[in-house]
Amino acid sequence: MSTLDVVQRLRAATDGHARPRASMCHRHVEEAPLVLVMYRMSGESAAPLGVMYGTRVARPRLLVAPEPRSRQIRFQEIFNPLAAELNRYIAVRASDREILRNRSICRQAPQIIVPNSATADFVGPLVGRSLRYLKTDGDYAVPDDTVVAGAHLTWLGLQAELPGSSVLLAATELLRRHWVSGISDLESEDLHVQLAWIDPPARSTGAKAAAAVEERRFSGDLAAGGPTPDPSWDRDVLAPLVADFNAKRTRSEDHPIVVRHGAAICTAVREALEPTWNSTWRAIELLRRLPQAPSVARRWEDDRREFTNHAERVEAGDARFRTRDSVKQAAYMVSRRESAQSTLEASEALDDPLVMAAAIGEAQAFAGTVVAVNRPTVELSLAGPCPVPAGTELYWAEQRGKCSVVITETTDTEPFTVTLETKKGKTKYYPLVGRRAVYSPFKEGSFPPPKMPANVPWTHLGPETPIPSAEVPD
Amino acid sequence: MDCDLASTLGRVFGTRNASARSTAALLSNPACERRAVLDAGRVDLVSLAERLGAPAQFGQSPFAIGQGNRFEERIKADGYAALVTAIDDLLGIFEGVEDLRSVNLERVGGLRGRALVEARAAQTADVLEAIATGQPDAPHVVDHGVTTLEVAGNTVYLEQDALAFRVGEHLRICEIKGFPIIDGTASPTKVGAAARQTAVYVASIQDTLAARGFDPELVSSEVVLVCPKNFSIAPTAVLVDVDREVRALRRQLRRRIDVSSVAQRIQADAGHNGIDLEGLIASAEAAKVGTKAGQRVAQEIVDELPFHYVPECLTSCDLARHCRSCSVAADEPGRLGGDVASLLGSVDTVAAAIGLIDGAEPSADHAEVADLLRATSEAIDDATGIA
Repeated sequence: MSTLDVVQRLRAATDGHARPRASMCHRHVEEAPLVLVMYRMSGESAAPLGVMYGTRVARPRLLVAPEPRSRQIRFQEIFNPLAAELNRYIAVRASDREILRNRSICRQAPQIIVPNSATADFVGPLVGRSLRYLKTDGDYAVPDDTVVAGAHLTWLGLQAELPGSSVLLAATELLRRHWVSGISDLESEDLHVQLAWIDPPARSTGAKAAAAVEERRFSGDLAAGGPTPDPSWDRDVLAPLVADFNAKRTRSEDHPIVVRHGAAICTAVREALEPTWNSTWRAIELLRRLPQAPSVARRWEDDRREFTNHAERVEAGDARFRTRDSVKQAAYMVSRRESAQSTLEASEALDDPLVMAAAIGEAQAFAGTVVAVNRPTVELSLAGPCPVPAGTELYWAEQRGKCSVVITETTDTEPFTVTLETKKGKTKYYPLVGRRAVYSPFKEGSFPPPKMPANVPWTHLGPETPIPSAEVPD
Repeated sequence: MDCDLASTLGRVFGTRNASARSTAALLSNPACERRAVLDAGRVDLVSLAERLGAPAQFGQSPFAIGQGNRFEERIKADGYAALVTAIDDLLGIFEGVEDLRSVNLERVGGLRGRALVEARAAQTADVLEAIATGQPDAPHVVDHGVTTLEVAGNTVYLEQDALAFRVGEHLRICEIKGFPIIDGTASPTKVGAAARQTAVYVASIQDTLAARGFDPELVSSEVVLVCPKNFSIAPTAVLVDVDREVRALRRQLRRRIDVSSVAQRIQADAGHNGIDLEGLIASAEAAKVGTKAGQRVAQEIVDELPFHYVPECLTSCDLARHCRSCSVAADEPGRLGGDVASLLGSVDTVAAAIGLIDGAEPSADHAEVADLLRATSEAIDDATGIA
């Protein structure tokens, strides 16, 4: 958490109005994202009771397994039809190609937006894992589509771990990236509460609207956002309906019978999921109002490229995933994610003056007015003493890290100035006298992507590391 | 007040039976004196929260309870067959054991209530002694035992959800949980909660052994956690070392002896501030539950107990919502998250922090944080175009 977050949170808590953390949208938002809202059966690890999904707010589709503990009902009512729909959504994107930098890549990657982090953790790693190894013949066979959807969900979950990816997004995290509410991060995982802070009714405050939402939750008027089960809803609403359903179906698992007797459960699930469905779309709408940050398109292109690879693997029948990464794979993933994280931080700061403000506030960067340019030096006047010590290498923000400078001189009495000497990169370019210039540690270089290490790196060695050793005869 | 504040509060607000879960709560927020005093009096926090007008929303779904019971029944069926296999796969401790003997201490003929619990505790201690002395007919599996733990001068009877397994003359505790272990990993929050809870059982069995003159080390702090494997209801067993939790619990229990001095200080402070705590308690006893007056007097009493609210309380403590409103009333920055509190250090209200941002003269030890907040605030204004 940066000092900017702390200042904005203190202000929000004081007057009840949320504050911005960014002045642009830093994630890609598709025209028609696939929104997924789920409720999980309590006590079961990967058994959804209901799923509401669709690519348009006005057209939610609902799948309900009135007795998710029955494998037959669970697959027939939810997993199989959902898998077929998901595969259709993905297939359209996999086949629509364009040539970019001499390579054929998909014009669009899939994008799933869910209400909260718990749903993201549920649909990607958990449901994906539960489906991808199933058998398509013999006892308990499932349709091919279901297994393929398992691979897709697994890939979405993995890709989403890459900082800056937009293929699987949680609305609570999206909102937290762009706004600061006067509550803790833990409380803002409730989408309804956080949304009330950011988008209160007219003439109210975020604090008041959020308190009203909590009141409704505790009076049982507003169901939880899923997929984590709500014990009181389970007890008061669901349990009697499920008992009734099981009595009426007399052990039958046939689709028509399930549908006939499951109507009341469908209605209850629809009522429980609808507020979260609407809130998720409302969050998307708020994000769409922000201008898109310049580097979003490039990150989305990375998502599209990765998706193209995944789609090709699925096509070739090679989309296999281990249950656990090998040690080398784990080390590789860590370095990939670290490098994506630092690129993301730099890009966001260089794109967005409000993100840069966090670095300026924390004395990593500074902004000043150019008073003189004597190549290769630039003199800036500052509002206070230069917060960064002489000798530090920084980058001129305008050139997005392509022009490196070193601080050669600072004055610590008024008038405050700093002198910078241009060192490397685009040394032909200089800011204009009288303009504002920002110097920061952020560079958006094109780093070569980390390679899979040849041996297990020392960071991943330990007493429990299974070190693969070459087989040699005695 | 002639008797202890904690037990008086228990009398006024109602008590509950201590369990491993409530004892383990000692480990989640040890800095909270409010919780320490209320726990020492075994106050029923669920009904107190309701009385305070901020009911908690915990409890378990009937489906979760049903699934948990089915899992347990399944792995205990046929003389613990599935459970023994899962544990043997992990530790190989039942190799060569021909007749696996188990003892279920859930019922003692004709007894009920307190007498039953005490009789079960005595039987459990006997069984543990038989194992410790290496008697050849000692059981291999001890189910539904009752052990005791001294908490703040009270003997707490713990109904063991966990089972004890005999390994020679040693004991292994096995806790059965309903959350899945998928590809060898499980939710760290759930494993952490299970570890804290199992540590309470380990500590109480150690005490039972020590009370009968045996080495408490006979019970291993490496406990076996048995959970459903992947997406099935077949069991899988893993080892979890709860040594750290046991030692933390011991530390908290020793600290508990101070609860009475904490209570005395609270009473003295109340008197110093002109608050008639005794009078409040008398009117709380007289007030009807569910009335506005009853709510107010309960709030006034609880207000006298110093709290330590952090947002994480919301996930584990029944009183959290009430304490959150206390924290808001006191304008504590900590309610906004640990990061906010640690950045602000000794700036102890949100208003004071805002004052520093807006140009209030900082004290010497706040100068640094004031500079940081102001620089950031100026940078924000600069970026958002506010002159």
